[in-house]
Amino acid sequence: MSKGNTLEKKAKFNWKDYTAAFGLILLVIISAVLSKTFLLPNNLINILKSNAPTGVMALGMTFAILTGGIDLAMASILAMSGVIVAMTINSLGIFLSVALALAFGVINGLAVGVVVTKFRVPPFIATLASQNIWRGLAYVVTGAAAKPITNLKFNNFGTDKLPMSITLIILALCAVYVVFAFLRSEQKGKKLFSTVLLLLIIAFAVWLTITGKGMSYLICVFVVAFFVCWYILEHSVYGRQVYALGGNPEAARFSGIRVDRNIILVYMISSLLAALGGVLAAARLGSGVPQLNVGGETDAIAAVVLGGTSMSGGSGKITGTILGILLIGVLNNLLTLLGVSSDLQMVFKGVIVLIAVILDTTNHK
Amino acid sequence: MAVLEVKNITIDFPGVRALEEVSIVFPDGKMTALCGENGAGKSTLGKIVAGVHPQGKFSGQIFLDGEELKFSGTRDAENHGVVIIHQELNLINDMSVAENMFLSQMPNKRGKVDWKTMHQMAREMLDSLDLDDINTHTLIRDLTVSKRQMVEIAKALSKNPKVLIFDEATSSLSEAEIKLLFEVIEKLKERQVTMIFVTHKMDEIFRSCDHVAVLKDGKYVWDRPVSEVTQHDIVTGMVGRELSEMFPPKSGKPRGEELLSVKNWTVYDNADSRKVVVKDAAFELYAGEILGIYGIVGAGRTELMTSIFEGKAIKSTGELYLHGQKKVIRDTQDATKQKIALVTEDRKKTGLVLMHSVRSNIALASLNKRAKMGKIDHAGEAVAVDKSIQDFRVKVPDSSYLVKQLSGGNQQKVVLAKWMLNEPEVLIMDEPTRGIDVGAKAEIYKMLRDLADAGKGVIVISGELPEILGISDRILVMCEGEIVANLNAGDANEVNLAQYALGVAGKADA
Repeated sequence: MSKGNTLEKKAKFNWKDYTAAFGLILLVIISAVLSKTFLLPNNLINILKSNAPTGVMALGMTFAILTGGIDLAMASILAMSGVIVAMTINSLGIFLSVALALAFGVINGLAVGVVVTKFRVPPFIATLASQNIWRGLAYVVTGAAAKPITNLKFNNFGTDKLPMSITLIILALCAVYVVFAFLRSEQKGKKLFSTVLLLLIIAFAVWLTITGKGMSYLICVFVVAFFVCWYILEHSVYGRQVYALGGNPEAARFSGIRVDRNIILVYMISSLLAALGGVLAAARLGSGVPQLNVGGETDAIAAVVLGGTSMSGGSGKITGTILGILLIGVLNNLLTLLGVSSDLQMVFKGVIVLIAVILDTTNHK
Repeated sequence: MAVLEVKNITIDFPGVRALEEVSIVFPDGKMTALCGENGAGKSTLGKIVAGVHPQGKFSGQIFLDGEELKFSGTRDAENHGVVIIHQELNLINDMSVAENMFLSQMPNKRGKVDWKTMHQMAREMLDSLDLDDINTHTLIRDLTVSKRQMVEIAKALSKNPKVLIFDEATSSLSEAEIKLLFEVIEKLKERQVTMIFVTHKMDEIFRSCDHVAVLKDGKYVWDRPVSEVTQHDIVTGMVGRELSEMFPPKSGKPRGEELLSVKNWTVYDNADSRKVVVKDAAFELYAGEILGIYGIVGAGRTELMTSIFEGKAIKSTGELYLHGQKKVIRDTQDATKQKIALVTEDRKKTGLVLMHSVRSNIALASLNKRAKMGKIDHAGEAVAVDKSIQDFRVKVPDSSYLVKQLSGGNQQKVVLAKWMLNEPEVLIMDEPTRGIDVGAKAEIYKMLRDLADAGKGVIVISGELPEILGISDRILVMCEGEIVANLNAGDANEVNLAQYALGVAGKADA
């Protein structure tokens, strides 16, 4: 969807780039047929809201996986970050307590990054250790019980909406930009599909905004986080360096790129986004829950992989991750609406991820 | 005895027809050189015969002793006695020499590995190749690249091949090892093994091959006994160009100011920080000259130059001066900012991100140069990349093609183009024409000369004498970690360079 696409082979439209999108459309159609309540705006908003924390996490996971690494600590950091907010909000106030939770994420990422680059500990191990440390500490400091948040302003953030008028103005500006970018593009044939898709998404958002009389703050934060990540990966020098060092770290270093520093930054980003996810989850639940999202990093990994990012690093797109998280969100929602138990839902998710990866590897042969 | 014949072989890769209706009969028990420029399809033909490109990927037929072969893969080919030795090594770094040699057929007793027999068999195989100094228990990781290549050859021989294909097998070997390889090849001829030697090195063809087949642009040109052809015939067949046109004329212009110099430069081994690999080196590089660095493998040429570029990633001591001013280079980014560029010896491992596009690769070293506040200038990048694709004559339909789809010569041009966008003053090239065909070589030499004429300082590290003599204005010779000679091109010849490199002559200074 941008000119900075690192992996395009030909300027021609390539159907294989959109497997996740077609998968999502197919799943939405199936869901609409199987469940009468699925297409109700309230249900759709609910899917987006409940997946916002995991979605933010998946954005961070995309960075880690693009470098050929992984961040298994994200779900623990998410829980710990929520606990930090819950335990400090009364004494520090909203702003400082949220800042503290986010700073916690950044500092943890710095530590993990240093361990990975300077001590040459594989990311799998370094983040697995960090996963245990923060989950354990979250239990210890809370006594393994959820800490309710009594700050109403913070809790309202989890349920309130950005006013309809403001949302609609922003969406209109987005639509204008998309059309403008399309008209300026030199490869209109290739961009037609993605432009139409983007306009449909905006139209869909307009519909949700009007029927819901505004847009949930949680969803707004997620969308903003996405745009920041998208900008970094597609348009910044740093993003390009992340792709390069994921593809071949030695060649990147011999091209004058500070590989270690860039990798440390990647873990700072993934960790920060996990902490942000924790803040969102805490606002949604109105409490800091130490056992929140145990195993949640697998959902984030699944979203990234479903979105077409290669586990060996160097190739993939953050837009794919969004499709991946929506696929998982819609699937979970459908199974819940159909009354499938959460245990069986895990089985379905596993099968879907396997199929997606097999499709992906056969596509790339 | 095995007569190998390929008939009407055609294969297409994305965007290119790599081979078109190629038919060759390879004489039995002889070694046939398969030569051609890069992109001529010689490696591809070797790979088809060895099952790397299985049945169905290409059209045409392969016959061995009159029987048609249809391989489903390399394993299938090996079972029929057709084995390939790759240009890129296919060994497992963390396994021992013996394990690697018998990976696909470990001697065992009811599924339990028979270590004793395995090491014994490996020992015998290595001994028969006079490789007494390789221990069968050593991990591949701990061997030099050239030793690994010899293990690869021993591994292939352990499969008792009827047909053996060497895919540019000598590109990482030193002169002594190449000699050893040819001795082995003579033995194999006695055993009546039919061999195909994919190469573009003339001396190798005349040294050991009996027959030569020439390909050009995926098409068969001719095949004849080596005794009936001259080097001139082969080169003309490959490129249709005279050999004397290989090297551009030296400008003869006086050299400019001093760009780079080092004093008391000592470099330590990366793995063992007590081991000295370069000792007390001192040299200067001037604007407008091409400085050749000659030496045999292991003389410390690469270590000397990469230590300058990599900065503190490699342990080194001594002083470094840029434009006469003392500088400390911290890391590769620092070196890049100081307008030093290094084209490494192994472009696939350290030069390119193979899975990315030509455009991403060419833009990589100069991202910051074009960026505004960390934002990529997509439009400016597209223009700059397209221009350098033209300037460097990279043969690719457009910049969105992946680098891994290009031939070696074009890949090397991509690396060079990448650095040129950063406008370096000092360009260091380590084995600039390794694995590159004659035509692309000539183009690269021309580019280097143009750069020197434009006032840059160019350093060329090479182990090939004709290359060093043909391209350099001044030549440093290294031997066992020391710079032992500093000669003007006019004073250097194949004999004295070889003597200095082998340590049989005293020190000399220009």
